[in-house]
Amino acid sequence: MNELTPRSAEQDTAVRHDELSPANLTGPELASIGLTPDDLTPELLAALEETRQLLAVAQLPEPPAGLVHRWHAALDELPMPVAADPSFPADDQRCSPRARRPAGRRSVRWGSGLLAMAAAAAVVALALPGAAVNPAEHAAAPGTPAAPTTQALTSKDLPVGGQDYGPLADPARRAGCLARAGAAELSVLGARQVSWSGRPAVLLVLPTEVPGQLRMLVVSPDCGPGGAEVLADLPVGR
Amino acid sequence: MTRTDAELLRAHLAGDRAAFHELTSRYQSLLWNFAQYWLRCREDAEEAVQDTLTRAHQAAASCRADDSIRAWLVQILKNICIDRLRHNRSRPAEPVPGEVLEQLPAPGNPIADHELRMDVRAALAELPEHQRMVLWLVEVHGFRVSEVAELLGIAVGTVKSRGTRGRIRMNQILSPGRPLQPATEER
Repeated sequence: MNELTPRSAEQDTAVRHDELSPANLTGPELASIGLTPDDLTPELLAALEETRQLLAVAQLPEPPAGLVHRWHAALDELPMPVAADPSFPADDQRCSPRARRPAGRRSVRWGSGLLAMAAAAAVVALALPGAAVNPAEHAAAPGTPAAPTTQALTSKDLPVGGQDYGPLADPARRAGCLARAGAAELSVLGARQVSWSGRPAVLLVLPTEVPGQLRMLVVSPDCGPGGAEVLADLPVGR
Repeated sequence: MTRTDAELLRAHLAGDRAAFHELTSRYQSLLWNFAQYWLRCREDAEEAVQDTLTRAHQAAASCRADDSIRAWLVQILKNICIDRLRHNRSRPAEPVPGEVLEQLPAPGNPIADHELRMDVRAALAELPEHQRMVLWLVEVHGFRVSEVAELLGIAVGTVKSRGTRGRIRMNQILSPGRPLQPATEER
């Protein structure tokens, strides 16, 4: 075999325990790949260790430079986040994808999302008789979610699965808008361009951490990293 | 002096716009390949990585000391990919079989390293995708088996068997004359 190049700094596990060595597999795990303990000869283990070292010098293909440029350019358009505690993360390379989820809460799954669709449709249809809304009474300050309000929405207005983002079609702008609207970490379940109190707007359906409940966010068309005019922020469902 | 991931994230939260770019550069390759693995569609993968970076950029303050930044990024990407796959159910995917493995390595490598990497990539490309992904994550990127199990939504034992089977298969490809026990079909 050829001479090997050491792992880079980010490939930080050069001397870690070899978790994939057959020597570390249980009997059933060995059997599942057609091996028995008697098959684990020194020659086999040495050969697999050699392969492991070869893999250590493998490099993943890089994304095209133009694509990387686009990603970075989009990041430059975003507002800088505000640190809740500038000491975070406390330890090197430590960060949790679930940090903001309250203990005991489960993430919203698709099954509950379907239930939420039905629940949301019923609640909206019952709670919203279609009365006109005065935007001056219900519009929130930029960047602040509005208080729940009423509007003539029915079940057919729930754009779950829809991707009619209109002016928010650009992912970076949409993300900036969501961040400004206090929904930075949420995936949009659906979107539709609507007319809200006579004004063009974009209706976004977002998940919540409450099973059976969705969040309907209505923002102005100019919503983006620079600011968000939240026209309505409706929890719907149970 | 090279800053750690945590230092870069702290700098980002302190307003250093370049810090997040540097952090992104470390993992964009991983995210890119992972997105293509999940989505099988180059266009969707591009947007998924964009969304991941955007979300991480805005949610950096949520970091806590119980996972790695790399795993955090991949977890965000995975969630985005799952959402996108749900939305795309009615739309046929455009497969990109082996495409990411056919690209040349970055320029500037010594010739021997270049050839070696090409050999390794060629061998990797011959593996079934589920084995290749496990080897990428565990052997190339240093993820722990338990992390890979969580990311891929499979049992730890399955990660081990796929990884070991893949490594055996790679060895057979790279050293065809070596008498190793042939791997059986995936369970």
